Amino acid sequence: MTIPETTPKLPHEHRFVIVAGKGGVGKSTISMALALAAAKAGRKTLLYQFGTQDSKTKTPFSEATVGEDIVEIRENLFAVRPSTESGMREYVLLKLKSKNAYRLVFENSFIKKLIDGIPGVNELIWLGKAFNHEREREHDGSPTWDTIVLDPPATGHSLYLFQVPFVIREAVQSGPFHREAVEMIELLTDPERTALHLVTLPEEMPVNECIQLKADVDARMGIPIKSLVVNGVFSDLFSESEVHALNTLRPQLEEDGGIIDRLVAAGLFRIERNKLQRSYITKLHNELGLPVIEMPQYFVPELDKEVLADMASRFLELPAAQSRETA
Amino acid sequence: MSKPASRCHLEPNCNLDRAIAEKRVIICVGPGGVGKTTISAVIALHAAMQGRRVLVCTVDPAKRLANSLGVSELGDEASEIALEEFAALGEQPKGSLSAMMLDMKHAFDRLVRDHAPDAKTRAEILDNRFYKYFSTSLAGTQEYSAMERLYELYETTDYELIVLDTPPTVHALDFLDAPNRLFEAIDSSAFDWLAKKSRIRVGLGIIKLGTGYVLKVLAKLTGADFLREFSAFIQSFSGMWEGFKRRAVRTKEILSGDDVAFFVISGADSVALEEARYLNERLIEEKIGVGGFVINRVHQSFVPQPVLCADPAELVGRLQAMGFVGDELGDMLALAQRLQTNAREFHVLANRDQAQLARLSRSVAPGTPIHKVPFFSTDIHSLVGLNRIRSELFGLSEELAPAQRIPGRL
Repeated sequence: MTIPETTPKLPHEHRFVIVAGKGGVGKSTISMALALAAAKAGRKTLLYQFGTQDSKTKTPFSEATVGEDIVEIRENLFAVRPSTESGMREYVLLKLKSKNAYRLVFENSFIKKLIDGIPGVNELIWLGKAFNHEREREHDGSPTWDTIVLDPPATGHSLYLFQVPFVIREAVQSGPFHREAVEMIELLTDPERTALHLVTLPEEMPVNECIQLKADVDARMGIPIKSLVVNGVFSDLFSESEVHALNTLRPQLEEDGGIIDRLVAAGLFRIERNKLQRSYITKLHNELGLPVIEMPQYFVPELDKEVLADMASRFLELPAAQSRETA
Repeated sequence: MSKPASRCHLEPNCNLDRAIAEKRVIICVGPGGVGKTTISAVIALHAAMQGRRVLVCTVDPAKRLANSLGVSELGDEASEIALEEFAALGEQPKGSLSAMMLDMKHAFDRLVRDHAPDAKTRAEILDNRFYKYFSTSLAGTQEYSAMERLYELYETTDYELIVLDTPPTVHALDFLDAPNRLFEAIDSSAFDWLAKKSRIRVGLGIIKLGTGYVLKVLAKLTGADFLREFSAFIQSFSGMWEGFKRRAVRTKEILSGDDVAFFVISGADSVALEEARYLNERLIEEKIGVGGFVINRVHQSFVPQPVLCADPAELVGRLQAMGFVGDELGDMLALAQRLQTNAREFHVLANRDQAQLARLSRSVAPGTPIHKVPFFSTDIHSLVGLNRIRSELFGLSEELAPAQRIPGRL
C-alpha cells in the first residue's frame, strides 16, 4: 500500500467488503466467515451473494433460505441473493419513479431480449444493487448497513465486473450513467469504506493467478486491497527432527508395505504438501506485500457453523500489528 | 480408497477410451481451479501415445503447462511436442502431439477483422471504448472466443483429434449460451431499432409506442450521451451480423455432432461438483453427448480404519524395528500418535470425497463413467508427471493401489 492509513481496520471493519479470487478457492466460505466476524463484532451486516435466476440456497448458519428478499440468519447478520429481474426492477423504479414506464418499456419482450443479449448485464445489475445498499440510510441519517460483504459471481471474470464503472466513466462524459459511475468509483477506491480481500489456495495456479489479479486491480482499478486470505493450509504436525527421520526412511519403504510403511507414507505425503504450501505462501508474502491470513485445512465432513465460527475468530483476533502492516 | 475407477480400459464401453480412439473433438468443461488444463493435456498425451495425430488447445495463462510439455512457451499457432522422453522410458509413441494456447484476448479482434465490410468499420469497432471492454472482460466473451477458434480448427486443419480445454465456466454453459443469447437479441426488433432507429411496436400489439417514448425512458435512465455511444457501437457492427450468425449456427452443429465428446472435469468438493452436475444437465438438455466425468484430486486414505484407532504403544515397537531411535527423535510415542493423527485426518478427507462421489453417481444417468485422479503430494511439472496422471486415468498400472504409492516417487 502506498497511501498510509491513519486508522488501520480489521478485514471486517470496512463498510463495503469485497471478496475476490479464482474459482474454487473458497471465496463464498470466506465471505460468510467475514460476514460472521462483522456480525459478532456488533456490526449490522449484509451478506450479499450472487445467484443465478431464482436460485435459493441455505447457509450453514440457519435453516433460513436465502433468496431475493433479505433474511436475518443470525443476530446482526442478514443475507440476500438478488435475482436479476427483481434487481432490475428495483433499480429502474428507483431512477424512473414510474411503474408505468417500467412496465411499458422493460417488461416488453423486445427490450427484454435486447437486454438479455448484452453479456454481463446480470452481473451489472447485481453490482448496482449492492451500491444502493451502501447508500441506504435510516431515518436518523445513519447508514442502514455497517458492513456489506460481497460474494461476486464465481466466474473467471468476477473482478472484471468492477471495471464496468471505469469503462462507463471513460465512454460517456455526462448524464445519469456517468454520474452513477463516478459515484461507484468513489466508493470502490475509498480506503476508508472499501476493502478488497483476495482469497487463494496455497497451490501453484491459484497463487499465480492471485498475483496477476492484484497487479490488474492495482493498475486498472485502484480498489484498496487489504489482505490476502490463504485457505486450506495444512498445519505442521511433525517436528524438524521427525521430518528428517521420516525422510531417511523413504528409500526403505515398500510400496505394498505393511501398516507402518503406510503410516510413514501418509506422514511423508503431509510433509511434502506442507513444504510446497509453505513455499507458495512465502512467494505470496514476497510478491504481494499484503497481510496474509492463513485459514487451516479443516478435517470435517462438510462446512458447518463451527468451521465458520473458527474462521471468523481468526479475523476477529487478528493482531492489530498485522493489519498495520498495510500502512 | 477403492481401486481407481480408471480401469475402464478393460471394459469395452468405456467412454473416455472410446472417445480417444474414435472422436474428432474432445471438449473438457468444468468449473475453475480443478485442473482442467492438466487433464486436457493428459487426455491428448494418451491419444498421441495410442497412435493418433493430436492437437491440444489450452487456455492456461501461466506457462506451466508449456513447461511440462517441454517447450518454453505456447503460442496461437500449433507447435509439435517432442515425445522422445517416453522412448527412454520404454514406451514408443505411436502418434504425435501438438499444442497451442488460445489467445482469448485477440480472438474477438480476429473475428472483427474477418467480418468487417471495410477498413473504416474495422478501425471504428476496434477503437470503440465499449468494444474494448466487451471483447475482453465480459462473462461469455471468452467462451465465445474458444468456440470460434474450435470452429476454425475443425474446418481448416487435419488433426485426427482436437482436445479443447475451455475457460472456467460456472453458472451457465456460457459458450453455448452466449452466442444463442447474442443472436436472439440481434434477431429481435429492438436491436434492429437501436441499430437503424426504425419504428418498433411495443407491447402485445395493443399499445403502439413510438421510438420517441422508449428512447425518452431509456435516456432518462442512462443519459442521452450513453445511449448515443451505445447505439453507435451497435450500428458499427450492423454489417457483420450475418457472418457472425452463420458461424454460430455452424459451431452449434459441430458441437452436437457425433464426432464430438464432452467431458466434465471437476474436483471432489461439493461446490465444484454441484457446478459439474449442472453442466452435465445443461449438455444433456442441449442434446450434446457427455462422455463422462473426470474427478481430479481425490483424497486417498492411507491406512484401514482399525489402524487409526490402534494402540500407539504397539506402533512404537514397529517404528523401532524400522530403525527409528528414540534418542534422536525425542518421544517415540508422540511420533506414533502424530502419525496416527495425520492418517486419521486424511481418512476424513478421503471419506468426504467418497461421499461426494457417491452422491454424484446417484444423481447422473446410470452407467455414466466417473473417472478419478488422486490428489498427489507434489504438483505436476513435467511430461513424466503428466504421464503419472495418465497411468491413473487410464489404468496403466492398476496393480498398484494409489494409496500405497510412496509420495515423492514419480
